[in-house]
Amino acid sequence: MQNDVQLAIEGQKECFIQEIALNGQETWIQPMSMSEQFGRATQRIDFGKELQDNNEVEVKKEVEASPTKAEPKENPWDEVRKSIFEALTEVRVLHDVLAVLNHNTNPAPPANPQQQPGQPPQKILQLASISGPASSSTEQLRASSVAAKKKSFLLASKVIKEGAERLERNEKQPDFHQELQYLRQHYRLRRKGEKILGDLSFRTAGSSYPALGEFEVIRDADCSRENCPLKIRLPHELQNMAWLSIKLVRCDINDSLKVDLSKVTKEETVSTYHHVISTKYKQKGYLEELRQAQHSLFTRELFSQLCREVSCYRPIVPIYMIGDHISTQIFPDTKLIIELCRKPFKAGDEMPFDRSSERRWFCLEQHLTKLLREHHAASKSCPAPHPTIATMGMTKKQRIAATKPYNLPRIERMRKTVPMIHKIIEAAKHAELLRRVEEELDSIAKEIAEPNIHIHWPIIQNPVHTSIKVHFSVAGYEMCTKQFGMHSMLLNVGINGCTAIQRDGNIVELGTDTAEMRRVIEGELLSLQVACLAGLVRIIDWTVLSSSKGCLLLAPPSSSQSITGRVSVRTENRKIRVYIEEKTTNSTPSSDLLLDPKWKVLTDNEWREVDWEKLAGANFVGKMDLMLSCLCKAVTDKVHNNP
Amino acid sequence: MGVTVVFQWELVDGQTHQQAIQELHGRINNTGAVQEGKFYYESKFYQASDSATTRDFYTLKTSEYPVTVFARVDDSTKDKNSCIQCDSPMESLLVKLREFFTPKRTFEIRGTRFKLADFWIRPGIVTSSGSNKCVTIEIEYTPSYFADDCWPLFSELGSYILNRQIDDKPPTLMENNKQFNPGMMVQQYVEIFSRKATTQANFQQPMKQEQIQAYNTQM
Amino acid sequence: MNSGKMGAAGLDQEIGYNPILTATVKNEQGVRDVGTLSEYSLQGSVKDEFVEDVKNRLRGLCDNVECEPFIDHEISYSLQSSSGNAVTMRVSRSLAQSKMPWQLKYVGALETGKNKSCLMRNQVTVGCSENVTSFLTELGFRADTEFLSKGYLYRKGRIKVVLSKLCKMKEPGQHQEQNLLPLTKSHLVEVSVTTLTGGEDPGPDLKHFAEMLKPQVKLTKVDHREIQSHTRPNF
Repeated sequence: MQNDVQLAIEGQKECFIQEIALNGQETWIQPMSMSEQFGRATQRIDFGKELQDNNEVEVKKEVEASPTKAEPKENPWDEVRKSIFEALTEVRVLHDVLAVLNHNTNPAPPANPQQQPGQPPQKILQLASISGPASSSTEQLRASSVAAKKKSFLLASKVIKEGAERLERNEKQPDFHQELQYLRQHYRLRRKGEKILGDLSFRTAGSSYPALGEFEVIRDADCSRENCPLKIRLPHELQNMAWLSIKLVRCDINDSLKVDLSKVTKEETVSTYHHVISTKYKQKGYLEELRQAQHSLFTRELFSQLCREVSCYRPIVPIYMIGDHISTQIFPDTKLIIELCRKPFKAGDEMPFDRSSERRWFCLEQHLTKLLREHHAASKSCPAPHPTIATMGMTKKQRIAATKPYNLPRIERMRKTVPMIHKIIEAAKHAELLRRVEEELDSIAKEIAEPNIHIHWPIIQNPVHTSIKVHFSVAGYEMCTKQFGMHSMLLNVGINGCTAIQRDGNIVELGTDTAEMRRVIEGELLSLQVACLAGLVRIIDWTVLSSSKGCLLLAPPSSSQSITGRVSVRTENRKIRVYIEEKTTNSTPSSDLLLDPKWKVLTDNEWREVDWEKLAGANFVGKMDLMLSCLCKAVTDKVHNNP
Repeated sequence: MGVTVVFQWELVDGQTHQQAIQELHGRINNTGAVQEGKFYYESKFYQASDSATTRDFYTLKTSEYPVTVFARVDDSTKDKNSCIQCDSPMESLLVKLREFFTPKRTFEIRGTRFKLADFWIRPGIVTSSGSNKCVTIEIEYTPSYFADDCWPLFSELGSYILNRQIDDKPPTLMENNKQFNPGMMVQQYVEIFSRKATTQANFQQPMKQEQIQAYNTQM
Repeated sequence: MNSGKMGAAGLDQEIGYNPILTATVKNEQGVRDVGTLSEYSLQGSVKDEFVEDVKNRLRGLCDNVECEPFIDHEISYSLQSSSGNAVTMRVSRSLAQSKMPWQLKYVGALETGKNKSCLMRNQVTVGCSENVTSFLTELGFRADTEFLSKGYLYRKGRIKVVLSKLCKMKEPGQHQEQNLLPLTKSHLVEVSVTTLTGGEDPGPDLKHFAEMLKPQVKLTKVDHREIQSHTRPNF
């Protein structure tokens, strides 16, 4: 069977080839499906044909139909339907007009004198020939009939218009019950007698704030179409917008000792922390009002909670509470002020915030809100008793405490609660410290052009702790420090101070004054330059004789021959100094005891300081690079010429 | 919470309980321990009305475990740990069981708590119905749960404070790597109370003079 | 139960131990005794096939927390005195949350008269370590019956709603699924409130709650002595 020839048989192409591209790709025209063919057939039905019997129109129609077939119609009968509809409308209009004419009380106008008797009366034509020339006797009659017809048309159109309007109005008529249903999606409503009452309070979320959070839903029966039929009535105290303003201001060290408040100078606001709600999303009128009321209720609960804590919490630094004002000195020169502000609600109004010194790093107001919500959640979710016969209302820990049993220190720890005011003061301290660190780092980076400082701010932090990584590098010589990894420092910002962890693992405790941090960073920058030089020296074949933090003693490549030409780098008085060893010309022995020539090193050599700043180069390391290569040449020359 | 051992102080002839406590405080202060508040133990002895079918038991409340009521059957088997820990409503439950178990005697220990590094030392006088019974010293070593591991520490500190040689083995109920639980502490107290209730005789002879001499020279 | 405790004091108040139990009063013997607690309850039952309806109804009625599934193992102990008086204790432990302490419960006699609308009994519930059973046997108590109750716990404020199925174990102490025998073809529904004796009567609250469950479950005041005298329970 090997002789068999295999034939490939392909079905006949049913598609037309529209185009063959240069790469041989064929574009086919797909054959029409049944529905498409049907659609096309329906489009071809021509209703005008019967009447006009005009072949030209048909040709024209077909020409029109062909481009439309590209877009398939959803309903193949659409065209037909439209045509029939139009025909029906025409028939109706005709019928109406005939009816109007038939009911005409005026006698039908006599036949046109020019009209031949055999012709039927052309009533329809009369309508069209109003402005046509007419004889005097029939003129008046015809005019009156036209006026009557016009009048009845007007009447009919008016009725139709009114009907249409009523239909339109019915659609847009605001429905009270629909609104009520909508409101129920947001708030809890209940019936009390004839009234409908809603609840704004956070009681179901675990709050125990006693203030009334009830509002009344009122039906506005005779409201206009644009207005909402649903009105709400809020209790008086909820009609105000309330918000907390949290700010840090600069103050005197003994600010709290001042008796006369009038003498206090205008406080300089350091930073404010507001949570500004995006205004893009606006809700319906009454919902916006309710939202504001609920927010103000929450804010007032928060503030009263803080006040209550202030009154029984006794920290070392006193906290003052005057009216709607809580203030305390968090640092000797900085004061935290929490203020409850109120303003009557007006739709579309925003809370007036001073945004000039707004800090977005993290928002203390949001932190406070979170604390209260956490407190709510804790009081709400008391776990279910297990086994079920156990008494309700105890947390798991409280149950286990007795039978485990927990000893006194542990029970005391369990009972201890940290007041919210304490937490917010800590967070405020941290925020202020962070602001100072940020400012100081910025100013250092601005002042010191060389070497470079890169700061990595964290994305994740908590309200009382932030870790910042500070990297240093010398432009052009980054790879010289690569062998030790990046030269960097970790800065842990806490509540009452920060700690700097240097590259060698040393931990430096810094206070709240950022000048300390500046000094640490400056020292770090000097040691970076020296370390970078040490890295460079190894590459250009000099020898590091000794090195310690900030000090370096270098020997030229061929130092085995000559002892001279050593270079010393030291940091003194927050400056880098460079010295070069030089052989003195006068060789008078200055010592009688050390006669061996090898000790001449001690006496014969002289160190001369180099004013490295005057050397050419972009930065210290670059200048030293240049100097060392020049020195290297001088020394080699000396060695070669010496023997 | 850690290994807790209760020792009994033997009164020297003519010494009152108050004097003994004074002496103990002096010794404890010498070790460098500092006072940290007061403590108390309150124990009640419940007697079964029908001794044929039911048993006597003790309850114990203490400031060291403030939310717990301990209860333990009064029996002689020492290594059995049948002490239960309960919520405070236990007391009102016992009121309901008055018909079966009647409270007969109460014991109280009050004193000052001392802290020495990881040790807690609680010397106190045992009183029952108004009269002083004996003096106890409780030593707690918080980091450990196994008496075998830390016994040398106990014997060193204990023998100095008590001024006598301590057994070189921990009490039998804590021996053999048994993990400490507060029930063991309760049991030691219950043993002391029941001993006081049954007999006033001293179980341990006071240290002989020459022993004390020998011990002092060791120090 | 927290609503009473919080209120004006709010956060400042120590979240200490159980608020009910710390209310101590001196009784006639001068013994320091925590105030006695009373349990008010109503009971009813529902056939197994309608349990889902009841669950849905309860979900709507009760607090906005998930219903809590539970499996409790309960043993009752009794002690008879020479004079013929007897006392019964119930020991219960949770198998769903085995770390939780065991509970020892004493239930007093039925308080009759006073025209109470619901079952009212004195009760004491004590959390215990797990060796409470051996303690009771040492004291002289004898274990009577043992059963397992499986079901859901709902809460509405201070009202505790237990919907449970009682099961018998084929072998004592074995509580695996295949070892359980349901006692009846219905679920037990019990609503109860525990308050300090002499406090405000929560009866109306309970009645109101029972009314709302009406079509599905009929909660009534059940006199257990009557049941006991009429028929012996089959366990």
